[in-house]
Amino acid sequence: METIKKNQYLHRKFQIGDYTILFLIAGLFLLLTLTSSTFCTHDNLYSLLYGVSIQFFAVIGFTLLIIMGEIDLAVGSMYGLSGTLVGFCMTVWKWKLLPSALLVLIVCALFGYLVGTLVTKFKLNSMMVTLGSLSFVSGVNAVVFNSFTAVTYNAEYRSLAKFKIGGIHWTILAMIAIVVVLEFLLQKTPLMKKYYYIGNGPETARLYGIKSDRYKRVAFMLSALTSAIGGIIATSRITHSDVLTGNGLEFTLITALVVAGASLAGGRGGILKAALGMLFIAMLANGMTIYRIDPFIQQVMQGIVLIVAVYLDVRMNSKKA
Amino acid sequence: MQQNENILEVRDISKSFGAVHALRNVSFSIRRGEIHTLLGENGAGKSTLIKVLSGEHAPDSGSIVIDGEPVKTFHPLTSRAAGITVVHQELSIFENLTVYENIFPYREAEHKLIPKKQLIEKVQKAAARFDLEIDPEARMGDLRLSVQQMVEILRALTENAKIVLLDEPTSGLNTQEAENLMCILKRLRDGGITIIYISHRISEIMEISDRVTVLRDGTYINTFVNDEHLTENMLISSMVGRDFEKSIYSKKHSTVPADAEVIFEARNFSKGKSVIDASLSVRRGEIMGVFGLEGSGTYEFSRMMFGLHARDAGSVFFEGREIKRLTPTAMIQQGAIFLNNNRKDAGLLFNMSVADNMALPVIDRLTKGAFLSRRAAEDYALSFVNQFAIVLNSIYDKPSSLSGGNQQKVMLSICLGTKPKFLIVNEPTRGIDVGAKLEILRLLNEIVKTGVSVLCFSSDLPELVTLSDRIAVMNTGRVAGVIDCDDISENSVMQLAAMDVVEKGA
Repeated sequence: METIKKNQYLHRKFQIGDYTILFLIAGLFLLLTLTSSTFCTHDNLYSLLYGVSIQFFAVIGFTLLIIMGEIDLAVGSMYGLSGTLVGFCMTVWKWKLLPSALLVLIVCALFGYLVGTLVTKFKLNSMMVTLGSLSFVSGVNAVVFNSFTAVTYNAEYRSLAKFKIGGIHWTILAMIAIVVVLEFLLQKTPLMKKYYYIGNGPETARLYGIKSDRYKRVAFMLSALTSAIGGIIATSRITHSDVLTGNGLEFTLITALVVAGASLAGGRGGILKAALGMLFIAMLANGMTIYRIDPFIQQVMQGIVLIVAVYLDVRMNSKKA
Repeated sequence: MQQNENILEVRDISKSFGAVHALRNVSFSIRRGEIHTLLGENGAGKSTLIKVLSGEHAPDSGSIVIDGEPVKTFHPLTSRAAGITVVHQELSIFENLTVYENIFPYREAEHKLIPKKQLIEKVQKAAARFDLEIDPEARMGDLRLSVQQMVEILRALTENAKIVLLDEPTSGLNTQEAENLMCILKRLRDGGITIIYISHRISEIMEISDRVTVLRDGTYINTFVNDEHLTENMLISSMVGRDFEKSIYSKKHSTVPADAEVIFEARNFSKGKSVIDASLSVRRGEIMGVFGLEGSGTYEFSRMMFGLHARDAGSVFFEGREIKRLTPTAMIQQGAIFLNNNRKDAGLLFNMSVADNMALPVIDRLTKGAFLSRRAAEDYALSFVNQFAIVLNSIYDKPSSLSGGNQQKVMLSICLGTKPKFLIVNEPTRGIDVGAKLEILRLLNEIVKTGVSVLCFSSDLPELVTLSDRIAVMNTGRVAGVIDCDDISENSVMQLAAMDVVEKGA
């Protein structure tokens, strides 16, 4: 057999579908800029980005789960609970911020690990298990919230979200750094490549010796951990606890990820796309607020976006199969 | 009238799926009120024929005549209306409903509910007609498989079926239940029902059939009348006697010494009724074939020994040492790998590129420093493209754009990339054309020359005969015997695979 010419076998197909989210963002940006005088202002764009940067924490672990074909519907309730728990530690136990936050993060991470163990060990459907943990966690949140009275948290807690580096909120910088580093790791490390293998074929991954259960448990832990981090910062930003903090966040995250090309069937998606998807959803909400669209109608719109995105996801997947 | 003697006539039926000729000009007829067995190896065309008879597939050419009436449209409902009912191996029952509800799933007549009492009476009447004992109000899921089967037969009878087709009805039954079923079928026959019977168990066939039709490679071979002249051997050789393929397949001459070191042993594997105390061992550098007819437990056994399938008992020894926790990961660490039987289920990722697929089990090695190297992955994939002459446009294509044979080669590349000492292959040539098939067989023969051992599970008997140094034959969950190279022939293997294992063991 003659030796093959190497380059002959190396072409990659350019896939426009990979860049859909960029077009969506550009299109929406253009539309809002041209039709509204308030959208494309420094203040509006900055606060939009700032808001995204806090919610972004919750999408980190969530993305890893989606890549592996699992889901954590309790991200939103965890987001709410963590803020309340830190408030509880600081108000009732008079702890400092750092130990309070550490304790809460450890508790939340352990809880996530437990959920992951339930899913992997007993082969339960993660959507159903986390629907249960969603209810459980938000119930705990309400109980803790009602157990102490604190209208506004102290200055130490409030300062967390306000902290700036070089005039920019640290969460924005953290988001950018995390996107760059994590995206690189996802693309370039064997460890994270395995996430995609697992998502594309859990049975195949198992057949060739990848211990998918272990990876999934860690990702469930990370999902709880990162949404807890986001929740602590979000509560710091709004200065008090609210049983509605994080309400419906799981919904926003799913929409953002699917719009940006991830699949609920697993195997696709990445942290950069997740961030872009969240930016898109935030822009959409921002635009609707600028146009004074009733919040309930906004909710209707978000539902429509999710259904359209899921439809496109399923359609594109079935074409490939 | 002569026309009326045959209740069913199959005339010149052909059916292809793509390039595969599942049935070629098959003609035979079935007489009213006989038990007629269809016999053939896996892939002989029985399943396709059943599907044509039940109206699930329309034949490409030829016709079916039921009771003198040619079938015009092929649809499950028209077949039913014409009086053919199929009792499949996988029963179609509602576990949570009662027996009478299963028999009469549609309880209405002229838009009115039929009273429960009336339905129960109907069931009792039908059961009494054939001396069956059934509680019409029992929950279906609580009944034994054999009773559930009876309910399905009863359902067929209440639908006024003239022909009942049973697809491997005894595969899940114990000896007692199977004998019971035989009696019932004979009673049905004597009551005027025609029965088409499909089974692999030769002794059973000899007991029950009035006539036996043998299919092989999609063609009709012969119909035997079950009289005192018919022997089991006649059926077996008729079933396996493949003449035209002898040019492709030649028998192997083993060069593996009998005292070669045993590198792999599976000891005493059991799981319910599917695998019963099965053991086998593989020596260095040999291809050990495992053959069994459908339902003999080969598939489950192969998966169990790799830790893919739950088991009640059984342990694996590698070069004499036992593997404590039997998981795929542990097996791979020992130098074993598993080529899956169905790449659509698992074994190949259809949404990732060929390069990504090949890299899967060795991804930790394709790095530069701590990070993945695209160059390394490309070189790695290209080496297999080169070595196995895989036909593709780009290694970044997805496997779905490749032909079946090339997909199989990609899967083999994934497996061989781990540099295994021991390879479990499962149906290595399923669904690929003859050229690719021969190439895969050649590759397997080359691999063992480098000291690798191969355990090959296949339902393709001629393939196994060519390939194997030894063949273990499974029969109803047990390893019925191991045949050494000199004694391997399709006949000797089929004898063990189809004989009644209980009789032999006793």
